[in-house]
Amino acid sequence: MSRRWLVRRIGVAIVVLFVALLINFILPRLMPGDAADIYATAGRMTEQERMAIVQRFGLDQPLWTQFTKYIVNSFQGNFGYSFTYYPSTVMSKVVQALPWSLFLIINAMILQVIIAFILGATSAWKAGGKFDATTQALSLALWATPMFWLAMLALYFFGAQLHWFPIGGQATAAANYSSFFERIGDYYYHATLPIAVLVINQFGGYQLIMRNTMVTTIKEHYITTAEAKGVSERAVKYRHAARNAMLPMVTSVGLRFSLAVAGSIFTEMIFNYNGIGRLIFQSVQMRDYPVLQGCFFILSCSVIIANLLVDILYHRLDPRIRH
Amino acid sequence: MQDQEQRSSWWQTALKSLFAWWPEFRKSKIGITGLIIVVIMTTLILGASVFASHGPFEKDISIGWGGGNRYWTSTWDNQGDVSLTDEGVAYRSNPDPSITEYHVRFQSNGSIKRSFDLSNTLEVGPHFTFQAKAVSFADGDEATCLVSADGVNWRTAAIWENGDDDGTYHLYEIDLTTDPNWRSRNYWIAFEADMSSSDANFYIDEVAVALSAPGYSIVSPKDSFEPYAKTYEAPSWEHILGTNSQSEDVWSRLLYSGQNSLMIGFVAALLITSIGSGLGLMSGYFGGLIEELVMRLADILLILPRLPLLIVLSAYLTPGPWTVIMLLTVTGWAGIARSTRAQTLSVKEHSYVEASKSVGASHIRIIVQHILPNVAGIVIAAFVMEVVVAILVESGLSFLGLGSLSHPTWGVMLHFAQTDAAFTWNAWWWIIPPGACIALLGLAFAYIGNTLNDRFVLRLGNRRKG
Amino acid sequence: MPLLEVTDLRTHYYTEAGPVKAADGVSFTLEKGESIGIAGESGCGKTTVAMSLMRLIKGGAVVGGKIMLGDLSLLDMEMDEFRKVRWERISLISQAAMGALNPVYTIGSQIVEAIRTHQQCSKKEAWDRARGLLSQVKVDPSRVKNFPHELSGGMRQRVMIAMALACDPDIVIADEPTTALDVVTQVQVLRLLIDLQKRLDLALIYISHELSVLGQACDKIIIMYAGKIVEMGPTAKIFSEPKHPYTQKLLGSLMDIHAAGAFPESIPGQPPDLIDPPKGCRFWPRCTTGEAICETEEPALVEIEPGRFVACRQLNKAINE
Repeated sequence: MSRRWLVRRIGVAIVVLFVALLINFILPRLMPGDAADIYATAGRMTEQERMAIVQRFGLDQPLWTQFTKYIVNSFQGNFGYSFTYYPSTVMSKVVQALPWSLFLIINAMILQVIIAFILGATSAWKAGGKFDATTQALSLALWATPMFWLAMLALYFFGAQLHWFPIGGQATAAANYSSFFERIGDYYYHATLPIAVLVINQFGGYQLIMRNTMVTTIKEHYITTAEAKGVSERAVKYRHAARNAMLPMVTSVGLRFSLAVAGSIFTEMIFNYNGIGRLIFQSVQMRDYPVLQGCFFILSCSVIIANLLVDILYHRLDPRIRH
Repeated sequence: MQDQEQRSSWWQTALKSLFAWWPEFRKSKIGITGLIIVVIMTTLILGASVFASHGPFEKDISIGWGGGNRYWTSTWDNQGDVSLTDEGVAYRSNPDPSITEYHVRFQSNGSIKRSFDLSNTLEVGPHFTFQAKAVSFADGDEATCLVSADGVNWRTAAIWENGDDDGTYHLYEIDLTTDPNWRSRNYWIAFEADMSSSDANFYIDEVAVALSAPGYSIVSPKDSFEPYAKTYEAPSWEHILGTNSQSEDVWSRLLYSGQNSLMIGFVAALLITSIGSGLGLMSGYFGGLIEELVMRLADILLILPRLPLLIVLSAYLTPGPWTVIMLLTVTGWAGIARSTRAQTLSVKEHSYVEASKSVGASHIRIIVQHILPNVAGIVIAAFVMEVVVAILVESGLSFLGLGSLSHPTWGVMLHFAQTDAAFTWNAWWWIIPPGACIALLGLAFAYIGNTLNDRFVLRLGNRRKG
Repeated sequence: MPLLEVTDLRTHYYTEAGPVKAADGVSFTLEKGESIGIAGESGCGKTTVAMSLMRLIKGGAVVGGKIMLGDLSLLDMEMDEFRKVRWERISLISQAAMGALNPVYTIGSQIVEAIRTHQQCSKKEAWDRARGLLSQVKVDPSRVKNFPHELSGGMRQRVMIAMALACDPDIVIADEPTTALDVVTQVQVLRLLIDLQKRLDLALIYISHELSVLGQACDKIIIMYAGKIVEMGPTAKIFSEPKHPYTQKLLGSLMDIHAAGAFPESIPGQPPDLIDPPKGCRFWPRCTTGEAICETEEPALVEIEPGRFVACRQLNKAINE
């Protein structure tokens, strides 16, 4: 991996981050009213507290100064206070919620990739066959299904009707875990439905990429070589073809991370899962702009970082570009 | 002359390239399935006024007679902003300043005439007595009770004046013999309210009806009916998909909301594809500063998480269909711009483009004649897929409460289903249909788009290679 | 009994327009330690024959004929059984320069995979064998952990050869092994292959469109045209007295570098459509000496002298008379 490549890649990430901050900076200032109200809801704060915020964010100063102060504050993790939960800071709300969202997203993405790997490889193995047609039709149909609706149905049938899974929350309330495994088990028990909905709705995208790459991969000469070697069909399919065909799918994880983020907003909202998504939903309802912006920023950050990590991983996975 | 001939042939090429997918497309089972679903759904949605059993904002508010299962339906003259709460109070939400007068009418429908046995009172002539309570008027409001023996000719039985909103019962008496059709055994009853103030309410609390003759005791048993909004009604012949918490007919709402979903999805996709492919084509063809600018912007947009961005933006803006369309377009053009640019670049490499250039063909001519036919496949397929994405994203935003309530879509329906806890009422008929409609329309478009991609775009790629 | 006996092999590829008869009644035998070359224009079915032997036909099928390896009837075996024949008995050298080696695995692990699929041995043994094989093909054994893209085209081809020898096969099929290489490397790889064939007493099926290459490498040559064998015989005889008009033209098209200024003669016309091949002799449309009967009557492959077969009506007629 060349250093130049890495530097360039990080440069892009920083620019995008900057744009996210810029959006956050500009939007509230386009609204009518006092700029200080962005950070301090009228009436909830004492005049003293209000002045402290005006001071800190330079709200009585020219726009340029405001901007530089905004950037500095952002990098210190200071995004002001929540309207609804004052005096909680935006950062504290976001930091509480983020791990839960990442828990959902990462688990879901791993499962999606595994399912897509197997289904994509299998449907391409006999491209144009019945299995191929069925999986393609099915994954397109699931992709076109609104995530939140799927979540509502899952909650209703498996939660409310069948009582197989809890109908909300991310952990049993006031639970006393006797061991680490019990804790993790409880987390997964609560996350099963949200993760399942995320996986079902979104694996299709990966599957399509996997399948299409696999279709071209199995025409490669080295697949013929592997077959000629007398290796079992399974080994040819997975060890030789799918292993090569998975690279584009793995790279797409970076770009599709933001889709998973979008999906988690809906699932968390429906399942009352206290992650970033639910925080966003609550902030939308309460018009809690600072928290909303904080969430947007933190999600942008995670997407950017995920993109970066995947690009680096891709360089590791494909020996051809490693040098 | 020759010039003219050539021009017509350009247009022919351009037109041909627009429909070049059809012969191939016809062979795909999945694509045809998608097309059929789209045609059926679009017909139903666009013909909502024919296929819907109820008006777009009609609320089915009924008054059960004697606690039985007979209902009175309401009609709203200035419909739109009048809705009924769970308790059966008609009130105006979101007052529209341009409408200054409201007329609310509860009326029994044909099948629920009430019959009275009048045989004992024929000689002396029956009197119709009723006791009613109407609550919540403002100054200048007036409510009328009307009776009719035939449902056609109505006569005023009683008038509530303003100020009579103290919640007490009033006894009204009418001499039915003055009605030319008084021998009818079925009587109709209706209540009408004219309200002019912005916080107008009309509420029939309870009505008890009895027949009597002067000097006689009451001949027919006292009967009463109560206002009853048909909320969370299970599917029936009258409401084939039941009613929602607002006592609206779900089937009708589904069709009318579909119009908005489809419109937003279609217009947004049209804007996204035309702007995206236009920018992509220009940056691919002209290169230079335009390309640099457009592509870097696209890079940024592609990395930023779209839904959170949309949520933040729409939280600051006034919701409405055009706001949604605008936001979808601004955040959605990048992907198509990128693929169109790539395709344009590869076409530009072709010798015939070089040749045309050297002969001095104009840019427009080269673009229309050479580039467009080669880019059309990608753009058409992308457009179809973009309709799905736009409908999905719009429904998501609306579901979060950021959609346009004035032009409700399927997403808005689901938003209200969620906030009104439809599942707690087991009102699956309110939740399953809108989501299923999004999914069905989405998958139909996705099938079409996927087929176009498979049969046309990929093939185009092969042709280019070969 | 010959080592390999192919009788009336018919392989079709399925297309929308109908089945393509890519190999249509091909018969030949191969003895132990014998090297046989198959030549012809591209699309004549020579690779199809090789792939049919390995049962690796894609988008088509072997629809008739018999392939006997010793007393094993290859086409009648269950796939699971047949996989044991692959590489263990028959191995394949294809154009490594064109991606016959898997790019994501080291060359060593690909050789080891071949060994361990067929033979019970420890990983360490297998790796040692892989190193040994590499030195046998004159590749530095320390390169065993290299990825294919880290090697030159010639080295990749040697690795491919080493891999083909991994299980001591009876028959090695080399399908255009030197085609994508530069001339110098071609010669080196060819020498190596010939040398190994002699030393290990391999039976070799060498497929190439270059007759000159086959002339150096093979004891026996099969000339194919449009899915059929038109001529077959000892290399020296084919070169010194080609019988079939097609063979003659093919030899005529060889660039004779000694005859300065003389351009090689090309064969006018195109090979026939194999979906609907000509009724009679398939070469008839391009043949300059053909007669009317050739258009309708298909010539049989006749043994004109021991080990020498020709499918041409005129020649056969001459012999019969």
